[in-house]
Amino acid sequence: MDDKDIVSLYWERSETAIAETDRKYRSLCMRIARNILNDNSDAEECTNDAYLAVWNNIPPKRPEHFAAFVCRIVKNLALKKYEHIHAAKRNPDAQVSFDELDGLADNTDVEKLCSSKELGEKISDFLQSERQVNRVVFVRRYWFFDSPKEIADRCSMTENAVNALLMRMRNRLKEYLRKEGVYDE
Amino acid sequence: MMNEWFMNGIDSIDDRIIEEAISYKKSWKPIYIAAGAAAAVMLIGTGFLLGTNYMQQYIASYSPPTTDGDTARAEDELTGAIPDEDGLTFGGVWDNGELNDSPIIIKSEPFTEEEAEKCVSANRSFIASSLWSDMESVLDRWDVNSDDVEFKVSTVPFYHIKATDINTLDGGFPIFPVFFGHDNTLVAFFEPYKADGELSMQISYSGPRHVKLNNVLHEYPDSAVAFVYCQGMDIAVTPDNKIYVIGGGDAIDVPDDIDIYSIYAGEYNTFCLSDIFENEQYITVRKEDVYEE
Repeated sequence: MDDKDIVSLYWERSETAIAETDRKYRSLCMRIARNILNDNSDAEECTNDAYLAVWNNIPPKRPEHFAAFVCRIVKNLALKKYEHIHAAKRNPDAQVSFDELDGLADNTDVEKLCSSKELGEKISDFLQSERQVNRVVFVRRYWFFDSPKEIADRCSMTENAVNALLMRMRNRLKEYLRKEGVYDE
Repeated sequence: MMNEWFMNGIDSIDDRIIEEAISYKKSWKPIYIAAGAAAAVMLIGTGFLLGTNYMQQYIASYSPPTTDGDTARAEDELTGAIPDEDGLTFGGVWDNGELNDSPIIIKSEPFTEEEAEKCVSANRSFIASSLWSDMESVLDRWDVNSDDVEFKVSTVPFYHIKATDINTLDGGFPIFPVFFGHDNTLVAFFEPYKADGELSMQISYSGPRHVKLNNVLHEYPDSAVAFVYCQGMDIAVTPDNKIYVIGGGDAIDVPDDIDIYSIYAGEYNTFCLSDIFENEQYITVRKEDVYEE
């Protein structure tokens, strides 16, 4: 079913909306949650909570990008849950993703930081200037927390090529943000 | 806080970019299916050829591996003269101290000065497959300061290397400086790996890849062939700007023009593989230039 039709079902308060969402996006939601939580049962709980949150948010919202909307909710719920989970249970891949990005903003004067929204816009601009495959690799790694192996499978690349690409993109992003005055080192 | 700030920024990227990443899935292309079918046909054809004198001679001349390990096998594949699809033999051996007819002379031990001179005077590229057991020994041998982040070797006049960041090799970086002969013909490329905590290299040729390489060399025997090596993506670029996919991995790993462009875009400024890469013409990759088998 088309995303717009699913959104319409939510607006009609039809319970099939959740069933359709589940049918279309369950594996994606589970993957996002599992990448963060590293636990199937937690991920399942998180996914079900996300469906409820979608139900509660539509209406009044009518998201133009329904898939991204659902993913954001799942991710936010998973991150909240993540904060309450013992460090030992954290998914090492997700943790590595955090650590990789942490180097981008080391030694930055926190008072000079722009807002997350502004930063998101800058990063979006940067990503739009990259080739599609680069963009996808970056987002799959740092937004979805997919492992390099999963990304390699998705993008028909080798795992090493993914790692190399990410390393170069981090360097380019760092340079880009510096030029844009987002932060100084 | 930095981490949180940055991750929130990542979280806030445009919905369209997120949806693109959701739906993106590189699919198999008809060319890969065709290539797979062609490979199957070739395999069947090879079965028929096994009974011919030609194959018997080839098998008799092939040196079987003498030691265990992938590197040893790869070296033996190299030192064995592997025929290309036309039955012509390229990529030959150092034959009892004498050159054979191959454009690339391969030897399992380091070449002596005299042997190297002999190769050069005969306008041949040459490679000693066990010459570079690790990065440091390469640099030492060629009198290169390993602290120098950018270097170009000319102490041995037949080779030059340019790598701008050796340290990245230690992180499993898949691109490795390519070795060229004095005439800019590809000599070899190596793959870094870690052994007992030490950075080492191993030769990365395989039999089928070598056959592909032979085909390129056969078609352009007197031309410069630039070479980019990335694990699973081996690409030769000829002076007329054609791209040859050399092989590596499954068919799905065969790169298309976008992959090639990405490699170029990503590597051009950081891993210039040879002087010829410093010419802009090699950066332009057109789809119609991509070689399709």
